[in-house]
Amino acid sequence: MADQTRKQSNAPAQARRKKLDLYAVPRRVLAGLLTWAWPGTGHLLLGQRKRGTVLACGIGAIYIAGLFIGGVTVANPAFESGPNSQQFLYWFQFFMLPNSILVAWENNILNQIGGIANLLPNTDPTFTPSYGRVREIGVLYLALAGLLNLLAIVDVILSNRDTDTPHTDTPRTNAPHATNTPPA
Amino acid sequence: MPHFFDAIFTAFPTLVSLAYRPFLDPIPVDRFWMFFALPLVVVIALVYKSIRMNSLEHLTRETLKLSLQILIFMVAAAVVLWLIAALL
Repeated sequence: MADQTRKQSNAPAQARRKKLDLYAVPRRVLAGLLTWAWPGTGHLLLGQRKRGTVLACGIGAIYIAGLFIGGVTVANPAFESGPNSQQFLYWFQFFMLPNSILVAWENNILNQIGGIANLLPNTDPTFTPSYGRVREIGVLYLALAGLLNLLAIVDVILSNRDTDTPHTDTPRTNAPHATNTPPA
Repeated sequence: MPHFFDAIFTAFPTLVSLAYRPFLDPIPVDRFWMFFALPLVVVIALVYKSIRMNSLEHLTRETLKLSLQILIFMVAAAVVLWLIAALL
C-alpha cells in the first residue's frame, strides 16, 4: 500500500524525467556549444540559473582580466617569441570561443573574407605587445579560463542535474504521511 | 560647432591622445606579479565548488575554505622547495 502510494506520488516526477530524456542529447550538445561560446550559458539553458551565473561571472572575469592586464596580444601565439615560449598554454585558451574570434581579428583573417570586412571596424590597430611577467600573467589567466571552461563544458554535457537544488523523488507537501492503516 | 571642440581640446589636451588604451596596451604590473595568483586561486575554487556541489546553498563558505586550503598548500610547498634548494 505504501509502495503504491509512493509510486503514485512519483508518477509526475518520473513522467517529467522521461520527457526530458527524449531530447536530452541534442539539448546537452547545444548546451555544450553555448558554454564554449561563453561560460555558464549552457547551464542557464538547462535551468541551472545560479550555477550558470556563477560560472559566467567567475570564468568571464578571469578571461577579461587577463586581456586587460596583458593586452589583447596575450591571446595570440604569434606574438610569443624566445626560447622559453610556452606555446602549449595557447591551446588551452581556445576552449573559449571569444579567444578564437580575437585571434582571427588580430591576424586580419576576417579581412580576407570578402563582404564581412565591410561590417567590421578597422582591423588594423596598433597593438602593444606585452613581455615578461605581464605577458605571463595574461597568458596564464586566459589559459586557466579556457581550462575552467572545459570543466564547465564537460559538466554541462555529462551531469544529471536539472536544477541547482538536489532532485527529490517525492514532491514536498504539508499533508501528513500516509500510514498502513486500512480504511474503515 | 568646431570652435566648441577646439575649446574643449585646448582645455583638456589629454582628450586628443590617450597615453593608455585599455585592452590594447598592457598595464605595468611587473613588480606585483605574485599577487595576481590570489584571484586565480579564488576563481578556481569557486568554479570547482560550483560544479561539484549539488546544492549551492553554502557556495561562498565552501569556496573560501577551498581557497584557504590551496593557499596554505602552496605556501607549504614553496617552503619545502626552498628548504630543499637551500640544503642542497
